Amino acid sequence: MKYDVVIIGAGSAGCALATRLSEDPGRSVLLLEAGPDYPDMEHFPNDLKDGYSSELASMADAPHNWAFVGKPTADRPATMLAPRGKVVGGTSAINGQVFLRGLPEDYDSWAARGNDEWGYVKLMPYFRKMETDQDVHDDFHGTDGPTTVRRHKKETWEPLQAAFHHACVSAGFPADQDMNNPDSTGVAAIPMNNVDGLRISTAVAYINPVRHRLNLTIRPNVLATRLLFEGKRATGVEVESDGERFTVEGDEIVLSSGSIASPQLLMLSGVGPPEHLSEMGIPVVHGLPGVGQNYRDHPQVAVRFSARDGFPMDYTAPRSQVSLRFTAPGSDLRNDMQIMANSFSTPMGDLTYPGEDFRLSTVIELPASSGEVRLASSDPHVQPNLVYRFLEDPSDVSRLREGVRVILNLVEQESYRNIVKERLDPTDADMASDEALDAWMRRNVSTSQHLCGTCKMGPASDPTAVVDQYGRVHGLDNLRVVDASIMPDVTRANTNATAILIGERIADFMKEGRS
Amino acid sequence: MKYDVIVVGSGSAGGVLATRLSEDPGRSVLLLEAGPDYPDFEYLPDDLKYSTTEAAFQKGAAHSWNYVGTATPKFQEPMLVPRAKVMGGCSAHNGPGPMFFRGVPADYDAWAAAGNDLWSFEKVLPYFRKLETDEDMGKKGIEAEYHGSDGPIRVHRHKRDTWYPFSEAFYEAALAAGFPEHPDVNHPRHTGISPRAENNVEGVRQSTALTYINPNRHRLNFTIGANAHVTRVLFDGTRAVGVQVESGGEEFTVEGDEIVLSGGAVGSPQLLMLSGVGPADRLRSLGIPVVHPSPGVGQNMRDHTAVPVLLAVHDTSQLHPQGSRQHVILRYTSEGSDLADDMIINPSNFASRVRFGGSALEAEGVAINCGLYLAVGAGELAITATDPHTQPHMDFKYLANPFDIKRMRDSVRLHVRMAEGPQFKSIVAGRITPTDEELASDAALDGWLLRNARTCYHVSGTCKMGPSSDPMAVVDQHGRVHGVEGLRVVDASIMPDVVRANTNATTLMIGERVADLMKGR
Repeated sequence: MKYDVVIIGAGSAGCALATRLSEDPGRSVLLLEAGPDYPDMEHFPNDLKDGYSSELASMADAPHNWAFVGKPTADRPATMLAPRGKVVGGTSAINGQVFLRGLPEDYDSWAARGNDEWGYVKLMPYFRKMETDQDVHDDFHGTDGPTTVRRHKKETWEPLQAAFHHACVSAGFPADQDMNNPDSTGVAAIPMNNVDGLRISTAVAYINPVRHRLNLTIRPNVLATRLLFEGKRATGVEVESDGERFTVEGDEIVLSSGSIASPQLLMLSGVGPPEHLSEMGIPVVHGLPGVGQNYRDHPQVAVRFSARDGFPMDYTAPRSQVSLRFTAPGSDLRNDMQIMANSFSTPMGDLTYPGEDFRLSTVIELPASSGEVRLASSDPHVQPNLVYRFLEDPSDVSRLREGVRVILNLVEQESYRNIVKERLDPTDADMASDEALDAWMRRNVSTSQHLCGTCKMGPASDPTAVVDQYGRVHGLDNLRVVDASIMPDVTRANTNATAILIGERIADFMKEGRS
Repeated sequence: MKYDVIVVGSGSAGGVLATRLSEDPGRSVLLLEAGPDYPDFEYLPDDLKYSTTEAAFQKGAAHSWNYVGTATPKFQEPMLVPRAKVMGGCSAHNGPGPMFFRGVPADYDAWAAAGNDLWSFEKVLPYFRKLETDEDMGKKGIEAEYHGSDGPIRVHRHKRDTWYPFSEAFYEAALAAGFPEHPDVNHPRHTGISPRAENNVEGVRQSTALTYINPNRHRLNFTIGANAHVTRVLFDGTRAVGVQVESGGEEFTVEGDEIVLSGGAVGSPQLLMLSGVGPADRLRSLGIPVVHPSPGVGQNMRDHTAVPVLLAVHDTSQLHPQGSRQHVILRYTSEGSDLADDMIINPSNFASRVRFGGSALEAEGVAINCGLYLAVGAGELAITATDPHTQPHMDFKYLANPFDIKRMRDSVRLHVRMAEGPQFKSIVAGRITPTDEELASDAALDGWLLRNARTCYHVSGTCKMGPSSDPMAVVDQHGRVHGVEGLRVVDASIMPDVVRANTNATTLMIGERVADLMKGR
């Protein structure tokens, strides 16, 4: 059984890629997914369907979550939840549905690092192609793409969202209309890929409409355990399916398993830092020191509040509707900070703070620190070690500190006066000095679940680049990585839209024969 | 995209064949099914789970092709010919029960005698054993040599203490009439009155979808394409190289080293003819280029026909449409017939108003269904259009042969008499059909028979197997289509004649048998 293309992982990038590649009926595409598949919307599980469920699909015990755990800082244990979707649709099927593009500067910096095809202007056709924006009709938006995008109208904002918006404006931040506009900054309604409560995952948007294609074979519940090579040429994949082992062959093998599993599978297959592979007892097929390095995310901390008695809390409401982006004082990185205001607080991996009603979270959108993904075992069933190294760079610490202070300023604004009862965390003692606040941040900093960068793209002259700008793994033939792991750095935005973009962009490279 | 084998149709034979072929992880198998697929048992529709729901046999049924055919010249309107359009094919749709019934050894020995020596009873018995787990006979001493104990299809018989009163009365009446009793309808020497063998588990029909396909969906070399209607076999010269498929309103081409048609006794000859293999004149008149002339395609259409002796009951509250309808079965030889065991009688505890235009769940009474299980006459099937969505014309020609109608006449009279016996006194209030008038003369009864004879849903024989010396043979005994390469037919259509039993078990066996032939065994 030999396919033209075997794609490992049906997530944000993998589904978009498989759908686009199979547009040519002459190209056979096998899409492998470790999790289940729900082709029938009538029997689509609620955790995947209901994007505003208070039972978050990304919680530790949610049914379609790998629920990896990682180590946020050197001082803390490796118990921080790293949700990744295990289902056709991948993490796009369990996420918060923020459909936010990175800044032009993000993509232009990728281009400047030797990936000239990835400049913002060159990507614009793909941003348009992938979406149907229901609200904004201009040169920057698509009208007939698979993913429907909309924003919550002002009149539907939850009380805490409206208060947040008011506070941002009265604190001097500009109000904006379209966060996906290249010049956008300030506070605005979040573009979301959610329509009438339904999460528009890549399973819904891309895969479902093309399931009838006989040249697209979708195989759920199949765990890829190893890539097969003949010399330096990838020839197939070894998989486990219902306890049995199978081999599938492909003219081209594409890893779209995400920023944890793609480097994991590369390393399990002998592609990675040679000394690390040797230490794990894995024969080296090709030494690539960058595999698993450059682990990027958006670190965040939450400031927690109790609400005044009688203030209404609706746990079925959209969790976030508006958001603030701003540039940290003294930073030369535009929009490097974001603040999200939750409509309510419910457990998300960790326990709700006692008495907490709502929280505001501040996020470093472009941190300087990065971590790494390393194998913990040569057994493919054992998750790799996720080492985040949040806040190791002093500029990250100072910027996050600023974020906390911005939050404290916002809740002092008029619009919060009848809402906030008490700030629960950080306490006044935590706020007493920079040192105290830094210590609090290190105790509390957490993931935004925007993992990327672990197979970064770059020219062969960059020894830490894993793939070239067409996704081709350096030094090997017929093998690509196409997912968020190839981002040279994280975008100043939630990563789902960019991960889909990567699938769309490389689909065209592959169709053009850049292989 | 090229598969080692493409199986067209996931029914009784195709579901078995595709599953068995994919046991070798080195062989890639694509199974195409025109109907939908329900991989998750939790969402399997009730009409596929239970054989007593209304849906399966009624006009407009959700999982049926809804074909119509001509039964006899006197039959009032086009006769519904249910053929399933769903994963599992007719094995997912049959019933009631469904009955799990092998032919008699003489059936298979006749196939062998016609030049198919691999199909004698002795040669096919291992496959009947392989496909079943007979919960009653599989491990029962001497019976076990005829039965399987670890096959995918679970088979059981209704225990006597679960029979409804009408079944019990019929059993006693049959004994009183001198018929022998036998515990096992699937015994090679079976004849007489017996409990029915059925392939359901707690009422759930054991289709090939549930028993063969579902447990093996995880195989990476086993690809299933549902809602994919194959419209043509593609040839390179006389070598079959692929199929053309409609899926989601688009057309696709899939290539295979070997193409296997398991579209059933209607779908397989239709597809052959649409693709240029069939009676040359018919194909030319439709403008279909002839790839290979094969006059036998669509001919030799075999079936079983039956009529009900319909009886009213004293207590209609005892009629349970969702209950198990049949518990016992009578197999006997028509008086003066040289064809042993040519008659099958199914007494049914529930007769619906379906034939009076009512619902299949609406009670009319009880019935003794008299079936002719080895007719002399045969029907024919032919395409009338090049459009694959136009069903072929089917003329069953039931009871056109004098010996066939005589045997049915005798059977009806016999069971009319039997129903008047003391065993039925407390149950039967009177006979609804045939009326005394319809029974008054042979001519009157023949008229009634021709107006009422309908299909038992056992369509077969339309691509019969036989040696190339037989001009009417369509496939050889390996299922390979004569005159072309890379193409087989594997389903009930290759039966040289219909077996003297419901056809599902034999069709499953055909899938098992040819799978081994294709594996070189």
